[in-house]
Amino acid sequence: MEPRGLKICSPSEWRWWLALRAVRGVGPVVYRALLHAFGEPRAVFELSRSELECAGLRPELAQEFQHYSEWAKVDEEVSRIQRAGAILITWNDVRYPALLRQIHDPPPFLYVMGELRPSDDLAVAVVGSRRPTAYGLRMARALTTELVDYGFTIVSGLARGIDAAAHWAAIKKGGRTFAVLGSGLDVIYPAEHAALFRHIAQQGAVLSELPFGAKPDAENFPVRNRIISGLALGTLVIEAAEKSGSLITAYCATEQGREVFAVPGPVGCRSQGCHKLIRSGAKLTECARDVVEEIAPQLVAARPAEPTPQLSLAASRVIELLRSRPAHVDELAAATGQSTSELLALLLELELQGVVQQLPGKCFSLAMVDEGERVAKK
Amino acid sequence: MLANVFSAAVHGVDAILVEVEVDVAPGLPRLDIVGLAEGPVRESKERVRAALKNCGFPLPNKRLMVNLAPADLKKEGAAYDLPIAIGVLAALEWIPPDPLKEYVFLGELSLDGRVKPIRGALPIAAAARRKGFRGLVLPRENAAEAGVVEGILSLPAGSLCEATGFLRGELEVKPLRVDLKAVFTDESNYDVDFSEVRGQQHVKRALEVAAAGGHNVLMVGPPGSGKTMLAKRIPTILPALTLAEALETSRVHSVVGLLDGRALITRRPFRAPHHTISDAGLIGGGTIPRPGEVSLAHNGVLFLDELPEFRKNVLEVLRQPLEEQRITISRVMGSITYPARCMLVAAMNPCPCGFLGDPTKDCSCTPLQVQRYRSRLSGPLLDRIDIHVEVPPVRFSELAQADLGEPSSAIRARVDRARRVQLERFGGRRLYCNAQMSTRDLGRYCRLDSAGEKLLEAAMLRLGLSARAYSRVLKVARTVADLDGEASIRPQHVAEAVQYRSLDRPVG
Repeated sequence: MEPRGLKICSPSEWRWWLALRAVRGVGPVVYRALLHAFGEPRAVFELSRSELECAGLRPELAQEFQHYSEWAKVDEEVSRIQRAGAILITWNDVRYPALLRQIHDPPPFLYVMGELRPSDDLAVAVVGSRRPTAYGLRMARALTTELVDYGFTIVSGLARGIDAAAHWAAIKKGGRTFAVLGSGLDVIYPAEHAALFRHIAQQGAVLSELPFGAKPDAENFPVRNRIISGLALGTLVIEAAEKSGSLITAYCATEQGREVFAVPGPVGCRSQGCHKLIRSGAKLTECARDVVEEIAPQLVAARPAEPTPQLSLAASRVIELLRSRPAHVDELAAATGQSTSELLALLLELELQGVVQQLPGKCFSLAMVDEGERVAKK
Repeated sequence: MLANVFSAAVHGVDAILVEVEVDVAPGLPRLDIVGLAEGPVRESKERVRAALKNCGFPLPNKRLMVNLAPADLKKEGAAYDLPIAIGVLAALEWIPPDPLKEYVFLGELSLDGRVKPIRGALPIAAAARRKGFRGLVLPRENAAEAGVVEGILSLPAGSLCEATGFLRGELEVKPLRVDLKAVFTDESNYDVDFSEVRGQQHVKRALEVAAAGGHNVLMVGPPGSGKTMLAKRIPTILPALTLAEALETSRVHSVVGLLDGRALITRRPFRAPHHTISDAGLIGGGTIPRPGEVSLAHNGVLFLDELPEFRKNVLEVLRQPLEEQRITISRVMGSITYPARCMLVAAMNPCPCGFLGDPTKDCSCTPLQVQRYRSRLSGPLLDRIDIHVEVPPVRFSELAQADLGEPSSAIRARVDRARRVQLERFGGRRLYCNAQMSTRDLGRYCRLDSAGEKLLEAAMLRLGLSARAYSRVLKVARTVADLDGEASIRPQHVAEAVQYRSLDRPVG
């Protein structure tokens, strides 16, 4: 389904789009059918009852349009959107993401805070556990950083864990990133991601199909997930449990004919979902190249070289040990043969350099939370 | 006739002499006690009457009046039974009055005339010696503690008959002498040792630093990681108790009646009150204030397990004794000061479910829950805890290891050395360890070189350490340097100290 002509939809036209959804008896399916039949919501309200019935509408529904009177409410919402500095991007707007328009149930319009660019069609969704392990966070960060280098826009869901790590990595790298919410744009969930929200709005966009004030109810998220996968050429899943929202996003991607990528993890530890995806045909992903190979035609990009910091012998030994998994300070002491006090001093130095990261319980891992994230948290 | 007998009342960790006056006059047969006698003392007359009768001294049909002087001091406890009984016998001229002037009498009587233990024998013995008494006649169970005080005889009396026999010169009572040196060498060994703790290297190191500088410690770790086991062993690596310290601590224990027949407390006390304790139980209280757990832990370790579970007001009252190392309890009748120089060792779970940071079990708490759990500890309280150490769960493989850890004696040798360095540095000032340094002392004793300063500044900024962490890090760094035998604080000492501030880092 394609709109009859693309334009730039001005705020004065938003009211029709908002009103149509407010009419009793109009759900997502009817909304799409109406758009298909009449092109624009405005037409639906301007036609006479007999004309609507001729077009095949049920008489009761046609009557609803004739009697719709809550324009004050609709105009209030329009001004609310404008006050918040957001815009409404409608289905027939040139700025409406082309990839999203292709799915079978695209939202008729999106509330957007930030900017959508044509180049954002080159997008990959990165989703995963809200309670990731250090490994998952590290992979999210590393893969996102690489994908940004290739010029991808990173789409995710502003949740804790993998989502946040992906957003932050993209922001840190100066790339573009989209967050799709399961609540209204004025309801930031989880609340501690307010700073992240602002960064994303500056370096990409925060999107939602839900009206202002909508609560982050559980039933919103599965529906929201189709937008995440719909915005992207492929969906990369990192650390999904056997039953998780990330899997829903992956299934949405399959239904929409998009690629699914999954990062394997240790057996029996938060990656069962990923392994299930791989078994059923998702691409096993170790680095960004695996992603690019599948969706290569759209790409021309070069990989930059990684900087290598100067490290002492003991420090490089510690980093080598931490490469496989996080370790407790006692383990490191036993493995390196250093005294606890020497090692604690060394680890602090590495931590301050941003090379390692301290986890609860005096365990250490390679750094996965980047500086931008830490500074913004304050 | 009138008789005077001396006894004593416990006041704080001191004692005040009480004169028991007994007057016999013709009149209706009765026994009255005046002089602010509280409950147990008022009932004393019934016990005395029965005990006298059962020892073969039936009371005559006369009026007996007992006065406890000074009359404006509240008397409590059952220790006046024996002096009242002796006074009655003297007033009735069954025993000669002369020896009474030389002794202080203490003891509760049972109805058959046996003498039962009392509280506070040690401070009373000290007070009696100051007043120039020759000896104390007191229950057998308390004879050892009184025998610690030199220059006064500790005469154990098993029953009222023994006491009267002694006073009449019919019975010889052997004074009990305590050989302090022998007591110290025999009993100052601990039942536990650090070598029994497998693994946990970095926790042991942190506790060593804490013991060396007298720093308060907070251990954070999942259930079953051995926090209590580690805490119990802290007294074993603290410097050995000196005689003066042992006497101070024994006094407090004597006042509460916790000596249990021992002469002295010769090991550093380890007190672990349950988290349901009241504020009065922790710092002391009551209408006639008695010492609380803080004072019982004087010169030792006060261990508070499950710190966030303690009632908020209880933790808040802990702040004053931690700062001033003594606790003053004020009541209408006056105020009493108890010593409270203890090392606070606290333990808590890292989060409400206990498994945050556990490599094998998943934590089910949200960052908000963790934040809320930790915020139960107020800033001012955390301010007084210099070292936070995270205790990891012990893996089975470590438990099964055959080789033992380092014994307490080796650790204690290093702690002793570090303490000597500190005593030398503080010279004649009233400081005995690094933890006691004031902000002004920090400027004098904890100067950092430029590299150390840069490191600390970077750590504060990059790790989000709170401002209160700053002076704590300096103090702990000083101790780490002392353990190293270094006169100046070097960057690696600062770095280690920063690692002991994990709770100051933001959660999540």
